[in-house]
Order: sequence, then structure tokens, then C-alpha cells
Amino acid sequence: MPNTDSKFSQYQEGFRELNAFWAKLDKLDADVEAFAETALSFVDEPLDRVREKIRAFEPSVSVIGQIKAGKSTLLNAIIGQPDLLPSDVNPWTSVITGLHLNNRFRPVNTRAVFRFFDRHEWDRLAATGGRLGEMAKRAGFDSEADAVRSQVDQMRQTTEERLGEEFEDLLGGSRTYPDLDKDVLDRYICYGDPDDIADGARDGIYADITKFADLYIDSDFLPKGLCLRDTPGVNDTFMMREQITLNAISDSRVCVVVLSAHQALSAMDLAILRIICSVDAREVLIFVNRIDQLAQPQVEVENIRKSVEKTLRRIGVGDGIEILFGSGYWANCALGDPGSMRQPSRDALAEFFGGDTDDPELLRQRAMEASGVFQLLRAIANRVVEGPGAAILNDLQKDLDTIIEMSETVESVAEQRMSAPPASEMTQMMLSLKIADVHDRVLKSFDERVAGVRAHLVERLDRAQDTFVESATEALQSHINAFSEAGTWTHDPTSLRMMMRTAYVSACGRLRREGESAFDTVLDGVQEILETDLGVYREGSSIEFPEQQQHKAPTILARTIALDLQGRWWRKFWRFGREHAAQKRYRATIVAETTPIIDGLMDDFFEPAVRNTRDIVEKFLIDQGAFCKAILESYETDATGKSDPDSMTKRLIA
Amino acid sequence: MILSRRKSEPLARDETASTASVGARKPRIMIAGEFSAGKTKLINGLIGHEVLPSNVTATSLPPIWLTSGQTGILSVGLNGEKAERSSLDDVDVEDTQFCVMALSAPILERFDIIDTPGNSDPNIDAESWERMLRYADLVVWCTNANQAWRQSEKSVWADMPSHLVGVGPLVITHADLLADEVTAERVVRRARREAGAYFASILMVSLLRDADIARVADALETLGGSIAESGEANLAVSRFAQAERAVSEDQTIHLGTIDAPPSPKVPKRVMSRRLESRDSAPDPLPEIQSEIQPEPQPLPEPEADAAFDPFEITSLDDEAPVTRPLYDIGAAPPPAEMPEQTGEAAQAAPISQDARVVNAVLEKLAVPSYVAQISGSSDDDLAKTKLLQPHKQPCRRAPGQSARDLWHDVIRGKDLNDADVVLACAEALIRQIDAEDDLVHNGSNAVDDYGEPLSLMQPSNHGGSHENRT
Repeated sequence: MPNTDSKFSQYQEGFRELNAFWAKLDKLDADVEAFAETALSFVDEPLDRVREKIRAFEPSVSVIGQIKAGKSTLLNAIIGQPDLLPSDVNPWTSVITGLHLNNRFRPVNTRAVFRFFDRHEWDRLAATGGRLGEMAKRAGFDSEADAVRSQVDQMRQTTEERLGEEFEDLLGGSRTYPDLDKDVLDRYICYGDPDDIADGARDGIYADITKFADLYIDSDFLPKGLCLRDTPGVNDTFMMREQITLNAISDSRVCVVVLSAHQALSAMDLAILRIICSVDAREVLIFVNRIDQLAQPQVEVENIRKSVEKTLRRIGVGDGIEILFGSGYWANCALGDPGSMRQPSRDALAEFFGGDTDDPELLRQRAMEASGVFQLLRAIANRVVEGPGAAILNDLQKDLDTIIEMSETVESVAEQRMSAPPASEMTQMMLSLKIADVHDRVLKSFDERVAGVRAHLVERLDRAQDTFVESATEALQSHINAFSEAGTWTHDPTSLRMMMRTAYVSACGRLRREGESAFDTVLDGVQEILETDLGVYREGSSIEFPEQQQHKAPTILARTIALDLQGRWWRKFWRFGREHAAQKRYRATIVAETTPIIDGLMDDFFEPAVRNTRDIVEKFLIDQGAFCKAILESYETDATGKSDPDSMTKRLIA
Repeated sequence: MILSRRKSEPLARDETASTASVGARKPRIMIAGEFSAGKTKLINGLIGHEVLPSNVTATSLPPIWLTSGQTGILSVGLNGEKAERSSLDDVDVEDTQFCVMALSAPILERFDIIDTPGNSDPNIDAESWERMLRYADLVVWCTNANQAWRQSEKSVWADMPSHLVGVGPLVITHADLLADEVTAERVVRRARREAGAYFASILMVSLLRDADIARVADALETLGGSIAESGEANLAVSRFAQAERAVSEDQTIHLGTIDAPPSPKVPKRVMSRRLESRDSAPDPLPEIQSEIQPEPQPLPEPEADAAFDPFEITSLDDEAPVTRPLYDIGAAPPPAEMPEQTGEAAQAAPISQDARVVNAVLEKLAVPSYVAQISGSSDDDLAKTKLLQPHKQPCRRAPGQSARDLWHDVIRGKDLNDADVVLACAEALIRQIDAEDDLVHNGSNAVDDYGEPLSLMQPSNHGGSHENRT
């Protein structure tokens, strides 16, 4: 292929920020490794954890949008492999597909892994039709809930029939392939055409049962340790797929929302953006794809930009989101055979550059330039570096500071020991008991205090629910009084969402503070041991606390999308309801709608956050305990002196 | 006074006559779909020239009701307020229910076309197009070939009133952007699989190709020919048409040319307008018959010769809504009445001068012959004629006609299996009956559709706004 290098050097250029970031991380890794060779043995484990963190760092970017927005095509352009992900004129992607670029943990002899739903997940899908189905049912759209259920049942039945005995074997399992084979991909990750399948085609025969696909792609032109995730389009008539995507939105911190230029920013797109932006610390980009299908791309692009920005401002969603324009199709033409470009797209390209060209190379360059893909690469790289990149650096820094501080203390104690005798008659056994005592004390107090936070949160959430139900029914009543049964009725669920969000965020803040106070208690306990039992003084303020996870307001809070999207339902139900019946149904509906949100918030988000913080506290305890033991050890043995921590420290910090 | 009364009678008969000759109101085709699906482009194609602006970003126009007639635009506000406008530019989407746009185009001789704002437009409430559904006899759903048939469309159809399901075509637009025939066929196959139940046919078209637009027009001709007129009546639209033809001063020119002294206010274009209707319209007043409900039965006017009494007329007029059912129930006009009405009109004709000439023309053009019948009247009479026009939906309940007829009207197209719907219908019936009583007592301060105080029009006006409210 001609000019392959120049073609792909642009990729390196596009990902430059990310590559530079990786260079930095690699250097850090090397330094940590060098440090570990000479470091005291008690920090080996923490250092291993740090290196593990560095190598496991794989920022993930989800590409999300409506069906047929061109997500798969765009992803192919992003990785420079036009034919990798299958796409079609009909909705085609049916599975969340992670593209792991230059992944260092790629299993041996594996390029593709497909994981299947297990029986439990499958049964749940079949029983409820997914969350959307549940919501639909509650909202009074009985027919829609039935539709979802029958979709899932039917899907299950056809898949079972199609796969026969294989079906049972696949459930809950996975399959791996040593190569990325087009036929294989077609079997697992695309819908397939029912008519073709009837004719014996194999496309999509496993799609319905496949939960995730992981594809490993190695290329010198691509950054290492990046995961790009393709998702099934939302607003699919097959609502279960949409549900899978909605559930997976929280898995990536960076999201590219892909819109189709012919209908940029519909109500559905806004709903997606709302869900995504409801999560804090989100890096979001909008890519308006398929501009090759506009008659006059350049003129229309500006109009679309204005209109999209205006709408976003008006709705108050995604303030200041970067909006990019382009065409995955153009990029793929440029990567493949530019001469095969379809006429309307070619005309649009000519329009873009003020004239067509017969020179294939020039056509290629133009298509690539107009595709906007490199701007997108740069934007993605920046977002990754600014978001997850900055977060992990910060995290690593704290870990290392603590490790270094402990090492230095042990070193200096060992040095002092040369001049002064040990201050106590502590044994390892006694020390272990003391440390265990601190351990229990800290965790007990943490658990108690968190129970208080939990109770407070539950109370606030309940109150939020009550308040909303009250205000909504009141508003409904006054609407009835004012307009009788005429007119339509909506009640903005934003207030509820805000109240719940505030309660949750404030509880997370308190949890964080409880974590910090637990760290304090750990330090106090350790300090006491150090001072009274080991005769060591250290500057308490120099200790870095470990990084606690940022507990973001979860996607589940945006689940009120149900209320947003179902304005039709409010009206319908209201139109035919009579006053009292309406009130009653309205109240019951809101309660039914919000209770699972509260339950989900507690079970799926708050409790894991608590566990997470507790784990960090516990790890901190263990590290500090190991540190104390190391000091004691340094008294008991001749120990150490083999390293030059100062120089290591400087290198690491640099 | 007697003269006035005489005039009012023929009016009614002429209405009926033209109803009979032309059939009921034209079928109404509503063009709907997601925004940017090519609705406006399709309409412009069907009309034959660019009547509506279209845009790749969401278009911010309210529903536009295109109807055959002399060029003009009327906006109907959410509050029912009507205003004539010179363009669509300054129409506020938020406050406007819809606009009526009268113009002359071959396809509008066959159908009224209702353009709607796109579904899923984040800046326009779905309500703004959904409220037009009740007027529609057939819905053409546009979907973009590139992103055809999504859940946001399917959910609309899952909720569609049953009489509109399986009636209209699904038009898949932008075929020109698809790679080839095979691709197009795949899209159609999927659409058939997933949406087939909701549509009578599926058309894959490129709006850039005239031949494809013609295919849509043919499909509409086929589908539209057999549909029931299930859409609700709308007086604002029919009156706008009526205003153009009857209330508007244009009409007076006919009178003037025939024998009355021309009014100084008469615009000159009327003749051409008449020519226009001759060219195109077999029925210039298609809406009026079905919606304003001329009494189809022979007028058993008991006091035909009584002195003119505005109040009496008012009260008669009150009953106009009551008579509507006779027309609306049966979608199409009762053919049996056709000759009868014509005969009566012919009988009435001798009353006026130059009747032969005028009637000949009228029969051909289906122009209301009251125009002729009041010829020879004085300016004063002309004025009266204008006032009386609303009465052409004359009204009075026939002896056999009763609240039951009104009830039939109210429940037309409603699903009586739904108890709530039945209650709502009962409510509507009571309101209508109450409204009649009200009118008898306060008939004097009414305003017509254009804000003119015209007490005699009040009853029908009342009916009109009532219509808009429900």
C-alpha cells in the first residue's frame, strides 16, 4: 500500500499527547523498578502494587450514540483499519466491543475473546426486559413492556433453537480466538440479517448471547494501553441492546458521543448526553459524523454547530463540550481505496475543497483531512491525559511519596541505631498485637461512623422522594383546578434528581472525610507505636494519605431519563384519568419510579463506595504495620544500607 | 329583511349543492416523521415548488396546513387566536397551534396536506405535531434511509390512533445516499420486518428525483382514494377557505360584474382568482360542506317569510353544530341528496336576475350560487350577505334531529370501549348543548375568525373555537 508510513505517521501525531504521557509513565515504571531493586524489602509489596497500577492503566474511551450514527465506522477510522468492525446499512453492532490497543496483558495466543451472558443475566433479561422494560411497565406502557419482554423471549428462543446444545455450553462462558478473523467477528458482534440467517448465513448467530467482545490490536502507530469501546446504538427498536449500552456508560470516563449530521442532536442524543454528563469527572466529546452526506458540508457544519451549541446551552447540558465534525466514511476511503468513494460523498468532498480531483493521492489526502479523524484523535488523547491520566499520576505520586517516606524513616532509624541503642524491648509478636489492635480500633470506628453516614443518606433520599411526590401532586392539583381536564401535564423531575444527587454527593463527601479521619487514626496509632515502643519520631504531616476513589454521582441518577422521555405517558395517563384516580396513580407511579432508584443508589453505589474506602484504609493499615515491623526488624538485624534512597527518591519525584 | 332571508336560504342550498357535486371535504394527508427526515422537501416536491423552508438543523415552524385556495396564510394560536400573515417568517412556534396556508397546486385539488414539525426535536415539544393527528385521515411517515425506523419512531406508532394505522405509507427518504440497490433493498426489508404492520406500503425514495416524488404522489392517490375521513373537522381552516371565497370582498366582484355596482373596496384580482378556480378546482369550497355543515335536508324553514330578526337567526344558527353530525358521520356526502339539492338550487335561481348565466358558471365551477342569487341587490344588501354567510351552514335541526344526532357527532371516531373516552364525550355533548343556550342569550358581542365583530356569525364562531379547544 503506497504511503503507508506517511498515512500512519499522522496517527502517531494525532495520539502524540497520549504517547508522551505513556513515555512519562514508562519512565516512572522503570524508575520504580530500579528503586525496588535496592529498596528495603518491606516496601516491595507496595512498590509492586505501584508498578502493577502503571502497567494495568488502560484508559477507556466509549463511543456512544444512536443506531446508525456511524460509531463502528468511526472506530475503524480511529484505529486505521477500515474493515475491522463490521457495519451495515441496518443497525448492526449488537455487542459492546472493547478494542484493546497494544495491551500488555493480552492473553497468549489471543486476539479475540467473546464473553457470554450467564443464565442468571439471561433469565433476568427475559423476565424483566431489562430496566427499560421495568420502567415502561411502571409508567403504564403495558404494551411496550410486553413488547420488550416478548423481544427478549423471542430472542432467547431463536438463539436457543439456532444454537441447539451449544447454547447451554455457551451460557456464562467465553471463547477465545488467536486471530482477528472477519467471519468470526461477524458471528459474534453483529446483528445479522434475519432473512440471511434463514438462508443459512452465519452472521450474528452468537450475537444475542454475547455480552462483551474484547479484541486485541497491536500496531506501532497506535498508542499502548488504550481501550476504545464500541457500543450498540441507542434508540434501537430492539430495546434490550439499548439497555446494555446504558448500563455500560459508567465504565468509561471518556465518552465520545457520535451524532449523525443529517439529524444532529435529537431528543435521544440529548438524553444520552444527560446521562453521561450526570456523572462527575466525565470527559465528553461530541463528534458529528457523516458530514460526507451533507450537500454542502462546510456551510452546513457551521449551522449545525450553532444549532447544537444553542440547544445544549438552552437545555443546560454539557456546558462547553467540544464539538468536532467529520466523516468516518471519508477516513476509511482514504485508508482504503479513495477511488471507491460513493458519488454523493465525493461530491460533498469536492464541495468541501472547491472542486473535484482525479489524482488518487490528492483525493486520499483530502478525504483524510476532511474526515476530521485526526482532530478527533488529538481531542481523545487530550481528554485521556487530562482526565484518567492526571488522576493516575496523582494517585501514583501519593503512593510513592508514602513509600519513600517510610523507606527514609527506616533508613534514618537504621542510621541512628549505629549511634544509639534501641529504645525499647519490643518483640515482633508484641508489635503485631499492637498493630492488630490499631487495625481493629480503626475499622470499628470507621464502620460505626459510616453507619451514621448511611442512615443520614437514606433519610435524605426518603425526604427527597416525599418532597417531590408532594410538590408534584400539589402541582397536579392546581393544574386540575386551573385547566380542568384540558391541556397537557408535565412535571419536571429535575428537582428530584437534584435533591437525590445532592444527598448522594454530600454523603460521599462525608464518606471521604470518614476515610481521612480513619487515616488519621491509623497514623496516630502508628505514631504512638513508633514513639513509645520503637523510639522513632517522624513528622506526621509529611505522610501522604492514599488516594481515595472519587465517588461520582452515578448514572443511576440520570435514570430519571424515564420521566424525561415519557412525556407522552404523563399526558396520556392524565388525559384519560379522572382527578382522584389521577392523583393516586400519579403518586403511586412516582413512588414506584423513584424507590428502585434509591435502592439502586444504596446497593450499587454507596455500599461499593464504602467497601472501596474501607479497603483503602485497610491497605494503609497494612502498609503502616509493615513499616513498623520493618523498623523493628532494622533494630534486630543489621539490615539495609544497601540502597541509596535519597537519589532514588529524587529520581522518582522528578 | 325579506331579501336577506331569501339570500340566506339559497346560500344553504348552494352549499349543499356544491357538497353534493364535489363530495365531502378533501382527504387530509399529514406528513410526519423525525425531524430532518425530509418531510418539508417531500411536501415541496409534491406541491411542485418550494412553499416551505427546509433546513438540515431542526426547522422551527409550527404545523402548516396546506389547502387549496387563494394564496394566504392564517395562523391559529394556542389560545385560538387567528391572524392573517404575509409570511411564515415571524410565526412563533411556541404559541402557534398551526398555520393554514392556502395556495394553488394540483395536488391540493385532491388533498389537504399537513406539514408537521419533526418528532424528537429537542426544541419542539412532540405535542406540537401530535395535536395535528386528530385532523389527519392518513399519515405519511418519513424516515431517513440512513437511520431508518428507530425506537423513537416506533413508539409513536405504537401509540397511533388505530384508524391511522395500516393506512398510510412509510416513505424512506434519501435513497440517493445509499450505496446501491442491494443496500436499499436491505433497508426496505428491515423496515418491512419491523414497521410493516403500521403501514399500507413502504416506499424508498430519493427526494432529489422527480420520478420518486411522483411515485409518492401516486401512492397517495391510491391510498388516499379509499380512506375514511376520520380526521376531526376544523372550522378555522374551512373558514379560511371560506373567507377567501365568500367572505372576502373578492366575491363581491362577481356580484359587481354581474349586476350590482362594484364596491370601491373590491380588489381587482378577483377575476383571476375565479379563473384560477376554474383552472384547478372543481370544488373551491371543499372544507365548508363537511365542516360547516350545511343542512343537507331540504330546509323546512317554517318562517321563511318572517321579518328578519337577528336574534332569531342567531338562534337558528346556534344549532349549526347540532346538524354537523349528519355530514360528518358519513364521511362522504349522501349521494342521494345530490340531485335534490341541485334541483332546489336551480329552483331558487330564478329569484335572482341573470340566473341562467350565473348558474351555468356555478354548476361548472361549483362556486356557491348565492353569489348569483344575491346579485342585483344593493350595497346594503351586499353587506348583509356578508354578515349572513355563516348561515350557510344553516343550521336548524331537522325535526327528526335531536341530541342523539349531536351525540353521534361527538363520538365519531372515538373508542367507546374506553370508559374514560365515553365520559369525555358526554362532557363534550353537554358542553355543546349548553353552548347553544348561551348563544341564544348572548349573541351580540361575538367576533368572527378574523376579529371582526359580527354578531350574526357568533354561533358558528363559537362552534369553531370550541372545536379548537377539544
